[in-house]
Amino acid sequence: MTAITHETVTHYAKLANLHFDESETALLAEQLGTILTHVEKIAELDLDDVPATSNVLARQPLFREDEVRPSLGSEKALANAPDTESHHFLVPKVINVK
Amino acid sequence: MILHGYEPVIGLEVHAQLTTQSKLFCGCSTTFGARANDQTCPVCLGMPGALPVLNRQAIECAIKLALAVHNDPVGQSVFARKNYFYPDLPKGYQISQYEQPIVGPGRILIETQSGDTKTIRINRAHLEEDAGQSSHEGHPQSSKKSYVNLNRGGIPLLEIVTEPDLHSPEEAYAYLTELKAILQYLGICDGNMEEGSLRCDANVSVRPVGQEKLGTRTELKNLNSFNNVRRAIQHEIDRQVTLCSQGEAVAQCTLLWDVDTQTTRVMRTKEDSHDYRYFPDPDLLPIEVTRAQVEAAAATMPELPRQKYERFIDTFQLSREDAARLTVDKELSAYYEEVVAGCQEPKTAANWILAELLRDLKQVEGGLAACPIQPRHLAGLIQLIATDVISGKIAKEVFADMFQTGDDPELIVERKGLKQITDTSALEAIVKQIIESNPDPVNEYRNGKTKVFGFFVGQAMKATKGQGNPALLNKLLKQHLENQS
Repeated sequence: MTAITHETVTHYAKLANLHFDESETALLAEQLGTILTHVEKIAELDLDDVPATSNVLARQPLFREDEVRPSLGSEKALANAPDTESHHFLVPKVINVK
Repeated sequence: MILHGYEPVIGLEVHAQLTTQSKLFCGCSTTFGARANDQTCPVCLGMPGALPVLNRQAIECAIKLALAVHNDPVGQSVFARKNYFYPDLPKGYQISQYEQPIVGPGRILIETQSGDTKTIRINRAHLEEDAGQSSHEGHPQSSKKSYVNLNRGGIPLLEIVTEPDLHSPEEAYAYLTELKAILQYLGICDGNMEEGSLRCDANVSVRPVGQEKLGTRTELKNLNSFNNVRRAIQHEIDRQVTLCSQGEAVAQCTLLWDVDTQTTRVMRTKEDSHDYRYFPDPDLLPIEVTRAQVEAAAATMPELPRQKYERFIDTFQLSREDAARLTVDKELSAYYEEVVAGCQEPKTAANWILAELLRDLKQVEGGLAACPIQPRHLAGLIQLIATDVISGKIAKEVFADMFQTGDDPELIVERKGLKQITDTSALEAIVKQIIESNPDPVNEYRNGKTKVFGFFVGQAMKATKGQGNPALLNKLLKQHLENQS
C-alpha cells in the first residue's frame, strides 16, 4: 500500500483551499493511500510498447471560427454575485497596494 | 553600470495578446474598453458545466509566430490546467500549455549596441487564456474591497519565453523592440503596452564573469513599458551586484516594479512560491498541427522586420540606423516605401521622414495613422527640390504648410509664390545691386578676405526672400566679385 503522509494531505488541502481537522486528515491520508494503491495495479502490466496518453477520446478536436457571439452582459453575469458595484464583482481586498 | 566582475543574465517572458475578434475558448468579444463584465459568458465566467471550444484563429497566430522564430510547429500540442486561486480566475485554473507547447525552440536576431548581430534563443511559446482584471485602488469601497472585471478573462495570449541569453538592460530592450515589430508585422498582436496587449516579466540573476553556473534569480513583474523594463532590470542588477560583492546571498523571490518610486518591492518569497499542479485539460483534446497547415501559413507570411531592414540597406543604401528606425514600425516602413516609389530618392526620403515628419508627428494624436501628409505629397516635395523648383530651405516652409493643411506641395508653392528664382538675368540684377551698395566688403573680398563671401550669400538670399537658386547665386556672386570690371 502507498503511504500518504499527514503532511501531504495538509499541503494539498492548503493548495485546494480546504480545511480538515486531525481526524479528517488521518482518514483522507488512509483513503488516498488506498486509491493510489489501486491505481498502481496498472504498474503490474507490461506497457513498454504503449504510448502515454493524456486523453481517451480518439477524435480530432473541434474548433470554433473566430466569430463574436452575444455575451451575457454584466447584469446577467453579476446576477448571482453576493456583492457588486458599478458592474464589477466585489471581493474581499486581496492585495494591499502600497 | 558598475558590475564589479559580475555578469548579468536575463531571460524574458512576454505575454502577447492575440488580435482575434473573439476569446480563446468562447465567442465573447475581445474589444478593449467595454463596460465591466459586459463581455462575459458561462465559459469565461467559469460556470459549472460550460465547456471550452478552441478558436481556430489563435492556432493560426501561433503557427505564424513559430515560422517567424524559425521553429517547426508540426505535431501534437496539449492544453493543461494551471491551478491557483485568485479572484480574477473564476475557474480556479487557467487553461495554458505545459508539456507540449504549440511553439518549441526558436530564435530571434537582435542588434547589440556595438552594432553586432546577436541570436536570442526562444525556449518556447505557448497559448493560454488571459485572466480577468482586479483593481485595488480608486473605487468607493477600495479600502475594503477589490473590484473584478472579467472582460479580459479568456482572451488568447501567446507567452513567449527566451533562454537566459540576454546580458544587459539594453539587450533586453532591443529584444523587446524586435519581438514587438515581429508581432506587429505578423498582425497577430497590436503591441500596445498601455492597453496591456503586450506584457513583460524579466528573470534576472548575476554571476561572476567566467562562471558557468547561473546565480539565484529573481522575477520582475509589472513592467508596463519598454523603458520600465530597462530601468527595472538595471535596478535589479545593481541590487544583486551590491549584495554579491558584499558576500551576501540573493534570495529567490518575485518582485514588483514600482513606477512611482523607481524601485522594486517583494511580492512573494520562495516559501510561498506557487505549486500549480499542471495536468492535461480533460475538456480539450490534443491538437495536431499538420504540415499542410504550416505550409498554408508559410505562403501568407509577410516580409519580417529583419528582412525588410536588410533589404532597405541593400536596395536603398540606407545607414543601419536609418534602416532600423524605419523598419521598427510596419506602417512607417510602408509609408517610406510609398514616398520612395513616388520620388526615387531613397536617402532624401529617409531624411525627411526621420527628421521632419517624425518630429512633427509627436504633436499629433494618433501618430502616423493620423498623419496629415500623404506619402505622394511628401514624394512631390522631394521632387520639387530635386528638380530645383524650390530650395531645401524653402522646402521646410512648404513642409510646415503641408503638415497644417495636408495640401499638395505644388499648390502651396504656387499659392505662396515660393518658386525658386532660376532666371539668370533677374538674379544677376540683384547680385549687381548688392555689390554696388556694399563697397567695403567687396574690397575686403578682393583683397583676399574671402570669408566675407558668406555675407554676400546672406544678402542675396534676403533680397530674393530665400527663393534664389543657391547654386546659381553662388556662381553669379563669385563671377561678379572676382570680375573687377
